[in-house]
Amino acid sequence: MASLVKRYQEGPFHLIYGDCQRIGKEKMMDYMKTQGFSDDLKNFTLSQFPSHPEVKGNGHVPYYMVFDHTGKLRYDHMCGQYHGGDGMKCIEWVDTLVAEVPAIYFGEEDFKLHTELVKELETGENLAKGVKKVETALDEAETGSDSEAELTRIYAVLTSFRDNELARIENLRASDPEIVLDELKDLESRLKGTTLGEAVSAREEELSKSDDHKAERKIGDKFNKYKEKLDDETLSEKQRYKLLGQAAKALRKLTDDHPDLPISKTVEAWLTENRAPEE
Amino acid sequence: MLIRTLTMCLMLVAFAAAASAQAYDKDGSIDDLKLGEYFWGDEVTLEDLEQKVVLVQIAGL
Repeated sequence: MASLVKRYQEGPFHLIYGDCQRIGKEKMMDYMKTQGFSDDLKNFTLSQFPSHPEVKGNGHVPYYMVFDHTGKLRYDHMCGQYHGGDGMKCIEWVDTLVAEVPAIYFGEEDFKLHTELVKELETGENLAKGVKKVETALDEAETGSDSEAELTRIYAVLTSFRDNELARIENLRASDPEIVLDELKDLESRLKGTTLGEAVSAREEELSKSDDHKAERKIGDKFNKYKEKLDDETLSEKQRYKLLGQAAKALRKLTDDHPDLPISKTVEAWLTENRAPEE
Repeated sequence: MLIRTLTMCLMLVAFAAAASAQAYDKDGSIDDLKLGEYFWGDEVTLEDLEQKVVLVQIAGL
C-alpha cells in the first residue's frame, strides 16, 4: 500500500486505511511505519474502520472498496488468504481509475452545446487556446441563452482549476519556496493571453519583487540541501548529529530574522522533530 | 451442422454468464461513506476527497 501511495503523491488518489480489528492507533501506526508509511507521506489516512451502506456483513474481515473520481463505488472485495480473495487486485483498480481522471474535471452533467470544447479542455493540453475560445464565446453569447449558461458553467470550472493551482503553489512556500516562481511561470505560460491568466501573472510579479519571498527562497534552498545530505544512509550517528548541528546553526541564522514565514515554521518544526542540538 | 450450432449456442451462453458474473451490481456513492475516527496522516472530510480515486482498505495487522 505504501508504494501505491508514494506512486500517487501528486496524483488524484487517496488511501483510507481502516483498522477493522480494534487493534488501536499506536499499534497500527507502528505497523504502518514498518510498511513504509511516514509523516512526510501525503494522500493517506489511518482511521478506525469506515463503513458504507452498500458494503455489509464483512464484520472484522479485511476488505476494500474503491471509488472513482466521480464518487461512484466501482468495486468492493472481501480479501485475505482465509477468504479466497485477491486483496492485491485493488492496485489494478486504482491504476485503472486514476487513468480515467481527466486533467480538468467538468462534472457529470452534460454540455449539450459545447461538448467538443469541453473534451479539448478536459485534457489540460493547449489550455490557453481553449480558455481563449471560452472567453471569446462568452463575450459574444446572447444574454440569457443556453449557450451563455453552458459557457458560464465551463468558465467556473476553469476558474476553480486556476484557483486550485494557485493554492497548491502557495502551499509550496512552506516546503519548497525555491520552486514557487517557476511553478507560477509554468501556470502563467499555460494560460498565456487569457483573462484567467492575469491573476497568475499578478501573483508572479508580486512575489518576484517581494523581499520576504527572496528570504524564503534562500531558507528553502538551504533547508532542502541539508535534508538531502541527512538522507544519506551511509552517515554514522555521530556524523548525522554533527551535520544536524551545522544545519540548525545555518538555518536559524536565516529563520531568526523571518520567524513568521511558512518555511521558517517548517524548518523549526523539523529541527525540533529531529532533535537538532540547540546552540 | 446441428451439433456445430448447438456448440456455438452453449459457448455464447457460457460467455454471457461469465460476463454477467463480472458485472458489479452495487450502486454506491462516496457521499454515503461514513469515515471512522481519525488516527494518522491527512485528516480529511468527504469534500477533501472530491475528484480523487479513493481506496478504502479495511484491514488489521
